[in-house]
Amino acid sequence: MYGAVRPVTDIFVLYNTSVTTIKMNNKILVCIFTCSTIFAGCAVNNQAFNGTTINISGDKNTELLIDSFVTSIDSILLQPNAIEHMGEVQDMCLSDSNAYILDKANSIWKFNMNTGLQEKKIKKTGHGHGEYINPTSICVDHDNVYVLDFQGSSIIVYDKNLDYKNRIQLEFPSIDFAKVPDGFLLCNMNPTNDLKRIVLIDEQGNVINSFLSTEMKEESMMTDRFFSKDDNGSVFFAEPASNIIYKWENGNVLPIYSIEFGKITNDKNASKANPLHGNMHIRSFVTSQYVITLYLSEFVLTNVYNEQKATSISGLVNTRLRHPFYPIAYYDGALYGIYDIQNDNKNMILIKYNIRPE
Amino acid sequence: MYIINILNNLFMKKKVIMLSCIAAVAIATFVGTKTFQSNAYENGLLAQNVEALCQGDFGYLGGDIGGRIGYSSMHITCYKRVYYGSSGYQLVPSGCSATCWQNPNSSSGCHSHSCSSCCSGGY
Repeated sequence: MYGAVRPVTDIFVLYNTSVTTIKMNNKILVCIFTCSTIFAGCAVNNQAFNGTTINISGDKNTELLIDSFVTSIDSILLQPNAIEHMGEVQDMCLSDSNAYILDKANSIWKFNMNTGLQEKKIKKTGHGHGEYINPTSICVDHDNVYVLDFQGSSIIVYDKNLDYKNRIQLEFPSIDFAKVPDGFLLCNMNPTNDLKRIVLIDEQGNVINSFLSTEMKEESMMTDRFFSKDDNGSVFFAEPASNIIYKWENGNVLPIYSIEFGKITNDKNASKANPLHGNMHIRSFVTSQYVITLYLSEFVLTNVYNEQKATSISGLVNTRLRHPFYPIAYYDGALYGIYDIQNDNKNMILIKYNIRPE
Repeated sequence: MYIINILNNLFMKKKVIMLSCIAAVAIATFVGTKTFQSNAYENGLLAQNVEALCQGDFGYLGGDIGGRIGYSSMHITCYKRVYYGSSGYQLVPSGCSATCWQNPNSSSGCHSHSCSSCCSGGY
């Protein structure tokens, strides 16, 4: 009768074995999960980059002759009205024969690029109709001038004479943008899984789609300008604090260039955590022949990548002027920079670097 | 018998005290809830008014309504012009400016300043 009953000690052994088995199973599961995660991570990190890698090797001891990629330099003295003063330039865009300049004093200027004369200036800060709080970016198309109000989370639309037309309200903060045929591409400063880093909106402000990882890699950035346009109007986006340049093509963002700084070892303090000493991508302009990249390696240096020859030249650009090479816009075969001649915010000069055709 | 009476009295007193305490707690809870609801309603109205003022064609003002929204911030490198011998005029970093924006997923405060020494990364 009792023979059928399992002894207590046996039950304990069975119980202990089961517990051990469960514990072992858990360990195996944890191991499998960890390995899978590591492999998945490696797989993601090793995703093949199908674009072009631009290797940059020039340091502060290398001089880059401006003649090697620029045919000529034109300068135009910008002439604000007698009582007007221009603040430090925040952003600029060009259209036909006009330059639209947004300064850090929240003024928007329209200059004639042939004469340098001021055609109009507006400064409408406030919370009222047609006013903005903190504009950070400006762009233009055939019909309109668009100003991105960062703190106001909106795009303000003006006609070409800077007369207010309407406001496009945004659902997220954005510091830089570009006009595309479908609407606008914006850099979302609060990216989430639902609304990613690059957001495409229509002209009414409705979100159409969003792209790129949501990770903000670093809180220190070399610039707050991420978008650029080439000669064909194609839009490029350099992800903040990243060395990847994406192209907007067929309704998607495609990684097209990767910047590599492998050979620059001149600075022992080089560190991504310390941008004053690191080798960091500042911004890039894509032309029909070149990818012109500004980067920081103690000084602001320039790399010119020749697309056809697949070669790079880089170093400190000597402009032979009293102004360093630091373009802020590309339009119609030329790079443009604005400089304050006498540090008085009064005498500003627009320098046009005509890019050498291949 | 006398002892039993005393005990009964004590028991009754305890009951009375207990009931009084329960009543007090109930009243306090009721009054507290009413007050909270009223405040919440007023706060809601206030928030709606502020949001109505902040949005629409007037743009989003930012601010920190009710202290429930945090901020994100970033540093942007500033540059200054230096003369570098035969290489002419060049740009070097001169510090950082900081800008902040509202972020519902952040609990940090707003960090914002014009170009000065950088605040993070030990430089």
